[in-house]
Amino acid sequence: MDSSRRSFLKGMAAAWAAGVMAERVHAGSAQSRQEAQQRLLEDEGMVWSKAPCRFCGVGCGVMVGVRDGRAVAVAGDLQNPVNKGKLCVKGYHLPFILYGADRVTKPLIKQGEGYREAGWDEALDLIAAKFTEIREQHGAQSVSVYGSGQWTIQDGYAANKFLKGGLGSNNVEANARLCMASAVVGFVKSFGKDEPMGCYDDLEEGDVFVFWGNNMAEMHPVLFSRITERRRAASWTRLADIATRETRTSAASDLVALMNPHTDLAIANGIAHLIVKNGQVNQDFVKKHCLFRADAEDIGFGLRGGKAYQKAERTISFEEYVQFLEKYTPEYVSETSGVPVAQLKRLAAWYGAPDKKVVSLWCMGMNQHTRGTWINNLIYNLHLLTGKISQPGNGPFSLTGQPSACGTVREVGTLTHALPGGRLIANPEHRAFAEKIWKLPSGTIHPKPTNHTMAMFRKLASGEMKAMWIQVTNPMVTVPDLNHFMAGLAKHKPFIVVSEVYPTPTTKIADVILPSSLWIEREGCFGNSERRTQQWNKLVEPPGEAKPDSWQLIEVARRMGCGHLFPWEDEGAQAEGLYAEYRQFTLDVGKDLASYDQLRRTRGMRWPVVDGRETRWRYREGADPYVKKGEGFSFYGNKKFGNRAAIWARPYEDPPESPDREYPFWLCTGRVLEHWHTGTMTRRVKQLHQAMPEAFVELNAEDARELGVSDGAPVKLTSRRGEIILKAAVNRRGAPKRGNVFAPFFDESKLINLLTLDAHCPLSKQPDYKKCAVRVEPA
Amino acid sequence: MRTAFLTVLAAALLAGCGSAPDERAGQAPVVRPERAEIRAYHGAPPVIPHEVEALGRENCMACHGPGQQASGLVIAPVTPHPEWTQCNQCHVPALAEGVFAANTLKALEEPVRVDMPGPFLPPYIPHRVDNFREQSCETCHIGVQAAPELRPSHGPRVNCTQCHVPAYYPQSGYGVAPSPFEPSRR
Repeated sequence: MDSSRRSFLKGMAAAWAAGVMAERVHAGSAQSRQEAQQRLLEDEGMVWSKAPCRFCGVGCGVMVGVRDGRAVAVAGDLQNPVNKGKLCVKGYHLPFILYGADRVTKPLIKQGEGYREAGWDEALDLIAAKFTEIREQHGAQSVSVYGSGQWTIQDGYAANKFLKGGLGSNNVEANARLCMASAVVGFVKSFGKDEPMGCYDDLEEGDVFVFWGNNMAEMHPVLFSRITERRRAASWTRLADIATRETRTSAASDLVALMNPHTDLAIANGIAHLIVKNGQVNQDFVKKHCLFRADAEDIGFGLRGGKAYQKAERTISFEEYVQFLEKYTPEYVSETSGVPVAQLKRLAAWYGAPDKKVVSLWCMGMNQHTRGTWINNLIYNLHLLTGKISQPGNGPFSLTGQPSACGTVREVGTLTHALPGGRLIANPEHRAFAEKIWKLPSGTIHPKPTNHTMAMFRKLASGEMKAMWIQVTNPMVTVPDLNHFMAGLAKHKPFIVVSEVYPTPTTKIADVILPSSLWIEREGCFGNSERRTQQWNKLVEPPGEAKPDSWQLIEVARRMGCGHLFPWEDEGAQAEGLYAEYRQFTLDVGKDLASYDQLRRTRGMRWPVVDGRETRWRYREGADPYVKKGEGFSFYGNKKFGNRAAIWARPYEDPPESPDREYPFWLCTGRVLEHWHTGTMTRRVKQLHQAMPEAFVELNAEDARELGVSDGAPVKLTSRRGEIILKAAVNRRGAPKRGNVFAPFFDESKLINLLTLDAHCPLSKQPDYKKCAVRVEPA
Repeated sequence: MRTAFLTVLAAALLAGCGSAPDERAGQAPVVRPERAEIRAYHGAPPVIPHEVEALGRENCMACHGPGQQASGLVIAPVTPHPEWTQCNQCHVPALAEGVFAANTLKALEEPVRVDMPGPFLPPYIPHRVDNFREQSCETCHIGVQAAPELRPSHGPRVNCTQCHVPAYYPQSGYGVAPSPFEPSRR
């Protein structure tokens, strides 16, 4: 507000208030009312600033209202194209997450059964000494950092550089392994490069939206509202939900195909079969821009002592691919999946029709899958066969769960096999590039990937992994088959550091707990599902002595002789310095990030950002600056295949554990609208806690009747690994298909991961939280 | 700019359609306490303050579509955004009492009535309005479902924003955020 208006209003308001208004006041004193009015008019002390939402991968923009150094409100950011002013119930309650009364505010060091407060120096010295000692005694691969898709880009980059560049250990992993790894490998196998080609603009352009095992109404609410708005505004639009339970997403959909768990592989191949049979293959596109590939089959499930995957990738002909599809007749697929033939034909007709623009959307249903990489590839097949890709309203869209699963984990490469900018540890040129940027002697970076997340936790449990630093995540709630890990940790007592904001089951296993700055208590960047990088400034001071995760890592790095890697003094310099250095990794490899200055000025930019302009659709001429004139499309990640995308022949195979006489039900786990992951933040918001106070188990009404269980009654779930008692939810928010039950994982007092199986996709190493066999009985 | 605009506006209002000073002055509460009770802070979506047998749009819209006196003095306000169909993405009921852990947030207060500086001028709109339509104002201010203390003394008129302008608009980012082409304020 300009000053002339300010003084004009001030003068007038004061005069007026003194005269007439004072008489009107009856609640509060005249003075307090006058103050409140002036505050409203002038916004004195009230500052609104942009930030991305702290929660999911959608990446909504919020305006945060700060007064007297504290966040007092948020509003949807009308200028952010992601959410256009809207938020979901979690987003609207964001300010509360900062002010839970039990924030961790000081470093804590384990003493006997409890913890004692310590200064930063003492805590950091202890961590540095222990990590150094363990590294010297047991080697660089015995220490690890386990972070998260909620790390800022700066945090992830600091961890990656510290461990891979400084300590010579590739044990940097993040919880995104549990959530996005199959999406990454799926992208890389099909296109040679990670992350979606399309963007959220597709949601206002598509004619058909197909949800593959994705309850988008609860998990990506604001994007789902964009789709329902499209459905309302364009009467020809259709929504199709392929799922194992009826949800709010089903309620808004035109077609609900209830399938048997794991049979999405058969359904996708069945749709491809019909596209080929109906003559709807886009021959021109396929000839110019695709090739066909196959790999080993019957590849195991990554179980302890199980079969190992042996790669056998090869290129096949279109005819061989058609032959592979022969088996997937509508009748076979219907029998396998339980989806009626008519629905399969309807889906195939939508995918195949040349005049219908189709967007496929998915998240955990396809990623947390023992054939996660395969099913990702199979959906890409449908879009490649029909040429419906990289165009407005046409394309496969892999949604992410966390605010920076893309930005921090996938792009920065905080995974054991990765280096920043889509580079690989195993590639000598990539290592050399990183060593050049990091100013390290050649050969410093360990040449092999070491432990993926599941291997890390298995080694922690077996005593091989001696130290782990956990940041921004809560593995003692989220790791599958928890009993196994908890027993191993109790036995071997590895050295555990946990950087947290509130007490959690994971801080209970810590030797040192460090207080972290949360969200707007520090400066940082997130990267969302549509390749949009968003920056925010520090808007409030953190409580007590809390510090950013990146600052904590850098301080320990300094104490371990790696200070030269981080020449930035304070927090502010670190935020910009880390980003600017990291950005060099992204240039000219198709992942070009915007400059920090541009990020400051905008509501985020979608990479590749070339000449200051963002890219909405990759791989298409005219939309993507990396595609040359005359190419039409170019899947330039697959240079070795002449810039062609791969259509994969991947079969349906049975899952590792299916219901049987003893354990007759399928168990699926997941999130709910009101809580973010393990509820560390959202359960401290009264409104969210009261709306979703505890975990439940959703039963099919018929199953419940046969079991003699009514809504709200206690039910015991038992798997081969653990048991738990939950209240039954019958005909509530969701209704599973017969023979299926669903339970959320947010409730730390009702750990559903005691029951889950740590089977994972052999290619992506991502565990399957969506399927295991359980017994259900009244408790 | 802003000064000139307001001065002209004030002059126009005084000359053209000056309304009588508010008759209800002195009776109206500064804030509707019921309003604050069901919101986490001013600007947060209200929680569902009544029991619900089943969630879902059809059930909500039975009362909140037309807006009506639900029972006795309890009012079901008409939704200000009927185009949004996923009601429970923002509005949730309370299924339990108590808290998981205490919270010390000091929330943004409900707005007070702010009159334009002059004896015959209409009040500002003291809150953010996402999109100006008839329903936007109707929800709280007009019709049977509006709380008496929030109804205009002049009765329903069509073009509310002819006289009432938002007080929030000039401020950074809340009503209308700074242009993406300009540096943000911080």
